[in-house]
Amino acid sequence: MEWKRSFGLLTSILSFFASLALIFLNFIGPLLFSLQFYELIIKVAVFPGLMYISIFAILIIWFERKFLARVHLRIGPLHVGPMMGILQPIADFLKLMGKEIIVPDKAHKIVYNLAPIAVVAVSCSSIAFMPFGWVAPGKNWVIYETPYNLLIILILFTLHPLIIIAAGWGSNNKYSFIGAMRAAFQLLAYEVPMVFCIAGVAMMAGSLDLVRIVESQSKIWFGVVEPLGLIVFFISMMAELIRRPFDIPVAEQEIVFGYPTEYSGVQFMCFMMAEYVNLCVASLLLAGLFLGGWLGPAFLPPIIWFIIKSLIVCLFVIMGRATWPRLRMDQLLRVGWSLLIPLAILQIVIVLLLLLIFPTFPMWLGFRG
Amino acid sequence: MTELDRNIAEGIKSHFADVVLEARVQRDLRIVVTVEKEHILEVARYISSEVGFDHPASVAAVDYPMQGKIEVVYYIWSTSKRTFLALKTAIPRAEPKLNSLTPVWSGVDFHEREIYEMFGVSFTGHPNLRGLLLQEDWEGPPPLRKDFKLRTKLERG
Amino acid sequence: MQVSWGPQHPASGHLRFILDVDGDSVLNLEPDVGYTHRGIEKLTENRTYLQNIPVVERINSYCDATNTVLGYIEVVEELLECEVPERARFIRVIMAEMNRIASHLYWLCLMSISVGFETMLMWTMNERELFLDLFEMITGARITYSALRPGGVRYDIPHGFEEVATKYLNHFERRLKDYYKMIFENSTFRLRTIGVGSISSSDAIKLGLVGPCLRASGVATDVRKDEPYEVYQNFDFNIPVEKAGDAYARSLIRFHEMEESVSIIRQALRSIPEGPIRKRVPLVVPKGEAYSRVEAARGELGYYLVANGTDKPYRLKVSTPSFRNMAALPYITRNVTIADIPAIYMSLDLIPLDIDR
Repeated sequence: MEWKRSFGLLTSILSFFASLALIFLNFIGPLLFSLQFYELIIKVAVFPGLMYISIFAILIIWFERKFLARVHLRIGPLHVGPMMGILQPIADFLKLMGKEIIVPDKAHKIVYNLAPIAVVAVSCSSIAFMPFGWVAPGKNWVIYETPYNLLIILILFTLHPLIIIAAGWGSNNKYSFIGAMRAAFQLLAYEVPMVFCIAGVAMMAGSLDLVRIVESQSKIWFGVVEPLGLIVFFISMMAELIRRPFDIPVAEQEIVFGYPTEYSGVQFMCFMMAEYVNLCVASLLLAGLFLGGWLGPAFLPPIIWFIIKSLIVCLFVIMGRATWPRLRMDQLLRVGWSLLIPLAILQIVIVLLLLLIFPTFPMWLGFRG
Repeated sequence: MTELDRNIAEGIKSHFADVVLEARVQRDLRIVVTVEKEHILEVARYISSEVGFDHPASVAAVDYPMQGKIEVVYYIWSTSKRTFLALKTAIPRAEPKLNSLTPVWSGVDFHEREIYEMFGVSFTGHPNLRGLLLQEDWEGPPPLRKDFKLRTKLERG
Repeated sequence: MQVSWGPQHPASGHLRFILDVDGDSVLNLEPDVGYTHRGIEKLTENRTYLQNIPVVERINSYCDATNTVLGYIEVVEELLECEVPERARFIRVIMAEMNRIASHLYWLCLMSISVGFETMLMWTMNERELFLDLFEMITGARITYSALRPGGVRYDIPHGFEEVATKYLNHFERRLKDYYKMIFENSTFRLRTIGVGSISSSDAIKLGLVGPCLRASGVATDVRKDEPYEVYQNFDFNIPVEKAGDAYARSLIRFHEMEESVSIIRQALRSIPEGPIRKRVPLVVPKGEAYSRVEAARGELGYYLVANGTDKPYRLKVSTPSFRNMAALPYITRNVTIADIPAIYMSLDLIPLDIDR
């Protein structure tokens, strides 16, 4: 069984480098045409690249555990690190790194080993298209500048069900497979209202560029104008992130751990990492679309405002875990198809009617220049 | 209460004069009816539908190797009359067979499976007569019979 | 597809359900128990009546030790025909009701986690600790007490127990209100449990369900009222009954039972008489047989004892509530989704230790 262990180790190393490489792949374009090479390196490696998402994941995991512990009347992580167990996620991370990677005998080896790499690669590359606000007039802090950033992030989100099905099918485990099928149902059902909400915002702003969308909220946030869209987007975002009360695909009490059941060590960490990177991207997306993005009073730089808003969104996402039991699949789908989608469509209809009746409405609220 | 118990016992005794060997009141809320093993099903049908003993509580078996018999006791509670009845029968140890009472009280299903496993009493008419608690490849005599010897430290060493 | 739900599964406990599933819906469920079978009925035949107390306690040790032993003590005392001091009976009732609350809290923690609700898991464990502390004050042990014995109890309640207990009970009653708001008024919990695993009263009687599961189906049966043992006839308490027979009704019954237990403990503490706590009883139990019933936390617990005039039981048959409630499982899990299995399983409050013995 020695070859299997080394195979697993190899995949773990490969997965790390492959995700790095895939992130870099996104930057080959700008590399060729721009000369700001060092700036790019900083963007990829520090902010908003690897270091930021790692620190974000670690801090959010720590905060989640601590927050839940307070709600549970516990103390939570306490002893690791200088302050309130803040280094506990790093200790867990090191523990997972040191664990043996077990590949089940009957698993489809290629699919099984590729799925964790793919999930990290896809979720990490979506951060490359997320604009983080101005650093200089007319200059945005973003790894890959494109007017289609919103579309690309959405497409990367829609890739997740595919990878999850691959992971569940490749594990050759009944629980994993049931979890993967549940995930497919859930993610597909909740992508539709999510996209509809984005459409409502994009129509108002007249653009699919997140930079334009944020900048058009200088007078009033879209969340105030389209509260329905904000609520529907938040709920479907929770479902897309597989957070409680929508963590049906990984429901421990029912199907052990759903699609990542068979994964261990670094490969399991890949799934966890992807989950928290997705949380990071989705919360930034919600802040950008509905809460005015990086716009805020001038005493803090725009990037800080953006991060603060995304962290507040994260807080609400975590609160859901402390206060609601998990829904059932049929209830979830019923909510998705018969409540959220009609609401999202209603929001679009309201926006369309507004635009038809008062064509000057967006200019009046400062949405279009 | 005792009056009611006595009436029930006498009623069963008079209805099945030749089949019921004994019907007595042991104490408050404890009626004991002893029947012949061939007629247990009809007596059970009668006391469940006519007398109103509808809530099966327990099925116990006791092994008497000296007398060569196994006693099977059904304990039934009556939700309408609020009293408790034991339906007893004895079966020969050499040929432990009894009519299953699952058609009368479906709740005795698991109890009878346990008796089958622990005493080797086979219940004819039971829908799913398999072992319940012991491991699937269990071999040896039924463990709750008196001739089953517990393993001691001496034998293991 | 056949899925094996347990014995190594985050929510199954030490038993296995063999599920025939079609996609996410369960066609058939077959319980496979016996993973914790310890042969307690056989063990008791080889030990004396006193040695049997800790053995019998292990039938359901970590939830409901006092009530489990109480049934055994009852059946032995019935054959011994011994007198038990009044104070001992009161102490037994206090301990039994405290254990009922502790057991129901343990159940509530499992029930809430079965639908993925972590907060209640932690909260209930917090309050269960109070009752374990009270047990520690009386017996020095927290889970397995072996504090009851034929002819009385082993430990008297200590000085200052009443004040501490009253303080804890006041706090617990305040917390119960929080629990109600947190879980029983929680819309998602109601969605997950109302109408799930419902069983009609006629089916419940036919299958021989007991305790809260039976009362949730609308059958008001409680051994404490039907056949008062110890000193339950002295106390004024209600039996909560629900009509629906689903998981939510079963949960609600247990919740209200905790409130009733608090009231019983208060009454018992108020009216406990002074006097001795145990009497000397013979070691040899005379020939005869008896059946005792007590209302354990999970429902009616029956002991059938055949004594042959020696110091060891000839046969001790235990009819445990979990074993009897298990009969309902295959009936109420047809055509439900896999997601409902943990909720139904936990709402019946099946403890594998209790089933397997």
